[in-house]
Amino acid sequence: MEEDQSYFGTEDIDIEQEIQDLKKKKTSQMELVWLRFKRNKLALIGTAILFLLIFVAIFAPILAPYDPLETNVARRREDPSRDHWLGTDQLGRDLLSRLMYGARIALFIGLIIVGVSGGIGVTLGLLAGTIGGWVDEVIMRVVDAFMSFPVLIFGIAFAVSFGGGLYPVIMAVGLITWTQFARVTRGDVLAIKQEQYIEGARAIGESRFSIITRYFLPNVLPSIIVVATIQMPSAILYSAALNFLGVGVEPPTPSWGEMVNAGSRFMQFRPNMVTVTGLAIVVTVLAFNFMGDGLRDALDPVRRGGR
Amino acid sequence: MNIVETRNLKKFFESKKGTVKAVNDVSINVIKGETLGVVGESGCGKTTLGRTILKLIEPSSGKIIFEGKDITNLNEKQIRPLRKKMNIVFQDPVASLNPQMTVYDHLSRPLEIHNMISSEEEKIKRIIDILNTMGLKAEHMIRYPHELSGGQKQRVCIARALCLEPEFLLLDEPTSALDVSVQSKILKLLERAKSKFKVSYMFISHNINLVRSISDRIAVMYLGRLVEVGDTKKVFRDPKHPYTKALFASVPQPDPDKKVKIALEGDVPSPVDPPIGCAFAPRCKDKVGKICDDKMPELEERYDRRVACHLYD
Amino acid sequence: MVEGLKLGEPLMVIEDLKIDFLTEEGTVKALDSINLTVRKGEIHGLIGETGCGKSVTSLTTLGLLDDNARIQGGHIYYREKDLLKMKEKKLRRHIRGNEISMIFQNPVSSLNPVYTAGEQVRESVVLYQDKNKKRARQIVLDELDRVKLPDPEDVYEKYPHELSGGMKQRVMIAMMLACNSNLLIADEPTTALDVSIQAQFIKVLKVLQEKNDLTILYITHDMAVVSEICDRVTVMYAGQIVETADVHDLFKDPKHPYTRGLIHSVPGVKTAIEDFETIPGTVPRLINPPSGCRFHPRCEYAKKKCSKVKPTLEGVPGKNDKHVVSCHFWEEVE
Repeated sequence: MEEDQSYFGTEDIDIEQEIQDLKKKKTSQMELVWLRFKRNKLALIGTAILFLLIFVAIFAPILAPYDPLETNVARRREDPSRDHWLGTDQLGRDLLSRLMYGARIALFIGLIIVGVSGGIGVTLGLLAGTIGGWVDEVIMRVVDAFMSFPVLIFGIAFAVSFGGGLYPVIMAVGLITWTQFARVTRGDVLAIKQEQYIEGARAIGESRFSIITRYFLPNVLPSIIVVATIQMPSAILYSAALNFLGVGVEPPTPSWGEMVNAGSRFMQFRPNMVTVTGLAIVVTVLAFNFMGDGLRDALDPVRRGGR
Repeated sequence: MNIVETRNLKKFFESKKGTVKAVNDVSINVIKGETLGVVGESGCGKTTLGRTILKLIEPSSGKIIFEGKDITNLNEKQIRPLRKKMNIVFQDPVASLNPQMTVYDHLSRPLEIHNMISSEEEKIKRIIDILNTMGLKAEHMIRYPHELSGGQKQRVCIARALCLEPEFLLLDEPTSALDVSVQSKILKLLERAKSKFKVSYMFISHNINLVRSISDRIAVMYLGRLVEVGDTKKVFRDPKHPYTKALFASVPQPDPDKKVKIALEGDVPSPVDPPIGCAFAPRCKDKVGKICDDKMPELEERYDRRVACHLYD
Repeated sequence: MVEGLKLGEPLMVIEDLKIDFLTEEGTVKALDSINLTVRKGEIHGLIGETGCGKSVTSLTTLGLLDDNARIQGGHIYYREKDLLKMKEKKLRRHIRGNEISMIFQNPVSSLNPVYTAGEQVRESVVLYQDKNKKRARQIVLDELDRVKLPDPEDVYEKYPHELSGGMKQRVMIAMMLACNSNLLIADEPTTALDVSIQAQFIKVLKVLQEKNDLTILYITHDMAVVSEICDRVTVMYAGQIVETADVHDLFKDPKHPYTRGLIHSVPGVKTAIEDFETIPGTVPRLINPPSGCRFHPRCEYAKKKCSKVKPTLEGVPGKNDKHVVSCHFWEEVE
């Protein structure tokens, strides 16, 4: 790192080459994040599990040994066997197949909920943090109000009043979980606001919109990603819980919540239904958490900078 | 000719304890092509003055005149085209760069905002040119701030401030966060940039030795007000205001034969509730009488400079 | 006070101290066999730029290094006891705060915000001097008076946030005095202070040194402050000791090329910017430091030998080993 070079005059440089290098740089920055991420074994395992889950969800029709809706009254509540690896439920449907199809619903719900709540939360958090004053005051009071809501009861009420299907439940949970995004975004924005580079951006004449999109957003992004990976499992848990309580996905569509619900009635003599489905939920939740932890650590050094 | 001028500029902040009079009735000018040094201890308002001049903070009252044009009441949008002509370099190079942007991004933004370039190729050429002027190389373009040393970061900050070829550059303690050997290089760089770009500087610092070497004129601030303004050599040779005298005397020199004399006792009064008369009166050793406690001295032409002190009434 | 130790006798001797830090990127060779003697009653300046190892040296003395530090060799003799061989418990009970105390750069964060200034000083008095509460209070007031704090009774009852930066720094010194320490390590104590406060602070330290035979190791990057307060100065560069001399000799007749460059890049000696000298290049990274003399890549006097053989500290003739320099060719430096 030699600092004392010629002070004047342009060196002979290949402009094309420089443009190429600039493009390459973006990827190498991602490689660095990946290198750090790789070091965290738990995060790697979590990510692998999630990929497996996504694979299973996408290819459920091919992978599942049975139609998840096909009933067989003769073979109800069976223990695991060669025909049915995880056993059957109270209507004789294959548990493994239902679990696979259930993953589709679980991931779909998780993604939509995080998308909805992330979109709302980040936007409001950015507004609250950058504008401040009464806007901040109003938004944060709304957040407080939402945070003191009992999610499940609100979800049931909301879902029931809108007909109890899948989408009302997604909306209900999404409307509740956005607060975390808003709070984290606003907190980060307030910290970044104190940084001199924001003042520097104003000094070169950046517009308000540019400052938000080019300076605030990229710097809060690492936090948002982490919140998303934490909110994803809780969204899955909430929707499973609502399912369990009887709102949400309509039977006979396979969903993990409904499966736990059904299984719980026969828990004393056929525990496999509850345990297997419960395990699927736990593993998914943990996988997301591990990946989130890893991502946070991997993204952090870039954000903090330092010498 | 003045590049920047303030007339009775005031900036008051509301705080829990009351109104903080950070900048109080300051009239100062920066002449085209000169370096004006602004010195004072922490809390004297020198940083606020700088920010207000650039309209990064809204003034409470008074006027800011830039190149003969009153810019006091321009809003954020109206001031934007003028940002091309004035810029700032901050004290802390680590905090002044966006950690998510490369050096290239930092230098291309100003050019894009002000439509200074027509093609990508031209842009890169200009960026490399300014990097070279700052003693950096083309390869530094693709670095992120955390991959640069402190001195290199400050060079990038200066490059960003100069790439629009401004008329006026505010340097707010640009070397305080740097080591001495790096500091001297940055100072030399600023000197060279000044002659290359024909830019005028306002150099804010608490390092009095430094201001002495770099500035043509010097302004001394105390508790939000100017106490003495004049030619650097003359002010150092013979400081007139008792505060200036005391301040200069307490600066250690890198020479074991020259020892400081303690000329200042006590602390700076609170800017929330400054004395009614001369702000320096409670600590002043040369008080002429009751008038110092009762009446605020005006900054008036005395001898070869401007001084605010009843001693010379 | 130290029994049997006269002014000018070695109080603390650092011998061939070598410290590495294990980091993600590799091993940082932070200290490369440094030698330093602090004598009773002197103010010894330790000067250098960011990352030269001056703070590491002081932290090692007090056993406050981070977990990733590895002491690879050397000794720190304090009154002939090796601090590096001492157990943590003994170090805490007999050395830290008691024999050797430290003031840091940031006075705001060094004081506990929930106790008054007086209570914090009393803590030290009770620990090291007198357990009686009433008498302890009186000692505290005396100490506050000794560091020239106006109205000690008033300061006693004040919380840190009610005091100015300079006053907090003095409360810190009072705390240190209350411990009856013999050696004070001051790590950039005035960097955050204004010049007028700095001048007052320096005066207080000077008076204390003269009246109480206090020994001070003063760590800073500010050449002007060093020339102001110190009796002797040691210059460090990239984890090596470059030169040690009396303050006059160092400023008037520096021997090492780095010391010379440093002195001439400080504004104040010369007034015009054009006259500043700059040292070419930058401070090396200590993960892969230059071989031999670590300054050789930036040195205009460097020869082949400099990159191969690490120079040792040699005495300048006629200076009674009081002026030592670590350079193969110091005699050629103009």
